[in-house]
Amino acid sequence: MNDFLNNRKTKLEDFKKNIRKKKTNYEPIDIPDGLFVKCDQCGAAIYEKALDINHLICPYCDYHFRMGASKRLSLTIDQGSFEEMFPNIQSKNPLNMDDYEDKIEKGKKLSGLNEAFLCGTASLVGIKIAIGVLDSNFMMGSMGSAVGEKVTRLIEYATEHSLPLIIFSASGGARMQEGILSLMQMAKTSAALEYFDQKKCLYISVLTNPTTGGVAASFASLGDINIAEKSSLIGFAGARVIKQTIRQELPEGFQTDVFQLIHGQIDMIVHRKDMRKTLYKLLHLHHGKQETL
Amino acid sequence: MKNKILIANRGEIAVRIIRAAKELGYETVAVYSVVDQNSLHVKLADEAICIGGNHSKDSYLNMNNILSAAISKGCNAIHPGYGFLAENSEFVEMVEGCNIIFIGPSSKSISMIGDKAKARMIAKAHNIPIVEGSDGVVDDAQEGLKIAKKIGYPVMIKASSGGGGRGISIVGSDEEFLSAFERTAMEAETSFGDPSLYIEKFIDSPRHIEIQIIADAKGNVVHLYERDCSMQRRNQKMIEEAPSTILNDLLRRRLGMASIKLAKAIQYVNAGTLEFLVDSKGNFYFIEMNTRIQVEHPVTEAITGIDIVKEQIKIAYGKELSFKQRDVKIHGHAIECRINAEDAMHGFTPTPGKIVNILFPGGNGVRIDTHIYPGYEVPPFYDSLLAKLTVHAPTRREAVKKMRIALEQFVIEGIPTNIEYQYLIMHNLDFIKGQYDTGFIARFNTLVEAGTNE
Amino acid sequence: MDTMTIKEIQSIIKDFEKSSLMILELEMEGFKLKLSKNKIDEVTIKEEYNSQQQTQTQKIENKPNHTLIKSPLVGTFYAASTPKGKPFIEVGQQIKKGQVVCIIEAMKIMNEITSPFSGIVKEILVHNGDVVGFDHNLIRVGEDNEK
Repeated sequence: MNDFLNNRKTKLEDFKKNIRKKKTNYEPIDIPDGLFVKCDQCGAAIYEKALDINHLICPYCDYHFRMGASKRLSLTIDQGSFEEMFPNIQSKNPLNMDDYEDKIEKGKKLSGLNEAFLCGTASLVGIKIAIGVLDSNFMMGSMGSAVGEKVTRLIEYATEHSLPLIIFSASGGARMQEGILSLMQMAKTSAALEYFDQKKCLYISVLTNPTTGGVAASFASLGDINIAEKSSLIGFAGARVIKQTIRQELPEGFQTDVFQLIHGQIDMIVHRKDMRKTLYKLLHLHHGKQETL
Repeated sequence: MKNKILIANRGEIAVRIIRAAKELGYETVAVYSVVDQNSLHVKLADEAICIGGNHSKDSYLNMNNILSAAISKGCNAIHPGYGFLAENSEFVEMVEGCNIIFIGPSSKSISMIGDKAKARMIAKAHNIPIVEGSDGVVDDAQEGLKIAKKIGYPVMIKASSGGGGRGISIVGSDEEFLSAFERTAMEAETSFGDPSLYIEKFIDSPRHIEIQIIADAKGNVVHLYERDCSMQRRNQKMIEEAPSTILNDLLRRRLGMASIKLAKAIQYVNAGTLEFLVDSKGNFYFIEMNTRIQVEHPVTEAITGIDIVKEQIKIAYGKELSFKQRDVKIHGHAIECRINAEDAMHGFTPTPGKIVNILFPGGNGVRIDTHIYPGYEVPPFYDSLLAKLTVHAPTRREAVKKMRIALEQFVIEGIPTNIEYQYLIMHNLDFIKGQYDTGFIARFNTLVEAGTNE
Repeated sequence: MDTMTIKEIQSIIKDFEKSSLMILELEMEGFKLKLSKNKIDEVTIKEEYNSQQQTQTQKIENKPNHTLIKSPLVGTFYAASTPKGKPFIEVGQQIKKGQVVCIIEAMKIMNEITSPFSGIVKEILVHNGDVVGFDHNLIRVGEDNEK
């Protein structure tokens, strides 16, 4: 019966072809661009809006997409509680590097921010905090003088007001275009954290994907508690460079979040969906009586 | 470009939609899982494309694959049928985002009224009676008592994690309440591991009455009268009929008006069904709204003469309803029996397998909606519906007689089905008298199992 | 011989899983091992449908020692990465496991399809721009040492 039905279908199709004057060609539907995004890890097509609602996490393989500073804040702190600080600190081109100014403009457009670091005060489930977020859309979240200055001033503000401090890092490292000035920021931010530490206040550093270079080697690794967001790459130099330098195979899982946890570089790995809850728990445990917003 | 519709479903409803689309002159594309490659809907459609593995989640529930199929094949509309993705507002949003027509209501309507709790609130806001309840878990007996007093006795105390008729107590007064609450909590703890309870007004011998509505994009809403779907086994419908034996004209008009009011309030477009419970005193209570075409739509088509699926397609492509409320009348009586691949005589176990041969009944007022054919292999991965047998006659008495003969003449060779079981029901005195409620099948089943034949 | 080490037992279990055996009983002095795959229903149903599929899917016969690369997605097949570009593979070419053989575009996202096995490309069964469904046969691959 099955074959009979199939034959009949073919017969009908041939019949229709003869009596129909012209054959209609169906073009694929032209869907709007950017409606679907490809997952970097599993390659699945994700509906953009669905991805946004799911905290920029792939619903199929749990891969955590990179996230801009504003979106990060909206997922973490209490709605409407953010008060931005130092918005006008911007980069110049002290070493007159070619293309640097163009790159800054591009970074501003892609991130919607003036620099790669967004900071200010906010409340997290009612607890007042000083918070800063690096945005990898702005020149890979690289740290130059402006970023370093903002980070430092944030830390100093938190020191002065005895606020708990949370910094989300996502960076390729120090900003090459500013040479030694960028590298100096590593020392500057670390020094500011030393004074903060003397005040016995809590600093939680959240390392997101990727946190590398001068940022990883300075303030990002100096938290009282270092949290890695799930599936983050954390390291100093690039894996390939290390391999070529030491001329050895790298261990499996090198520079992944799990690897760093095992080797004591970070204290915990937190899934993006649990981040706000976890930060609240830690703040609640560690801070004494503070004024709430 | 000519209109081309992708049918995102399988089985008898896919066949139904393909027929309606072809009658309207539109091209059709069928989708199928690997095991369904020889299914009838694949053979009847103009084109077909495989969309995934056998399990529903890999194929008929795979939004990406179905959408990609529609886009690649150049389909400008998708009909979801019933079940699967028909009421998945995320899927509908994706379809809308791709500028493809979804043959059904908007994703906004679906998420608004598809949520049971939200639907109840909307109904309440429009003075449509709902089954009063605690709106969630009741923390302790005292709170429960307050709610019970407010709702009015009798009330049902139900286990939140419950099912299968367990963890339910019916309480008739304040005095009984506290001990019943404690008792039910303990029963819930032991049976389901969760002692949390909620409260609902108890409706005595309810009938499940649903109203079919259809609306176009211009705001015209028409109701197509009711269907009585009280013949259920474990909340699965077995037999449906229209009109209902317990509605008088006044009640019918009130239900119809309430349905239109709600549909207009949410600016609903396309076909939908509002479910109500009606008690022995003629009080009706809104339960929920189904934002899709339903399995039992043939009985409504029979008594009104309106092709609902065709209207769905026409509305989706922007046409206005071709009729007004005053044009719709009830003609005669229709009964539908669902024929399933299950061994009704032995606990309703599913019976997938090869159908060796079939003899379909026919004649005046006998309609079959099916996807089975001689030699067809019923796969074990999906629901057990094989066919819908609908009869239409001038009176209910004649309809029952016609159904008996049709069931007698319906032969499916190769796997056990529930044809015999349905035949027995057609001879049951209570059913013949039209006196039954949602508890009928459960009681009938005990008779059948005991070997007696009423 | 002493009793089996854990590693040896694990190795036996791995081999058993990979094989088509359903039951394995191993008895040695002081040691007895029984393994069984109890997926009866799945297997019998799978067998029935597998035999159906082999006769029905497309007109290509299952030639000995040939394997088929099937589509994991629904979309449009492209032989090259750009419209005028060089195709990823051609007939007679040696391919390795994991090598990109074609692109399937779904919802404007280009997905590189990699070969699950090594061998020689015998036949490319679809044309550039064809719409393919899930499990659609794309490329027939033969063994390396075939003439």
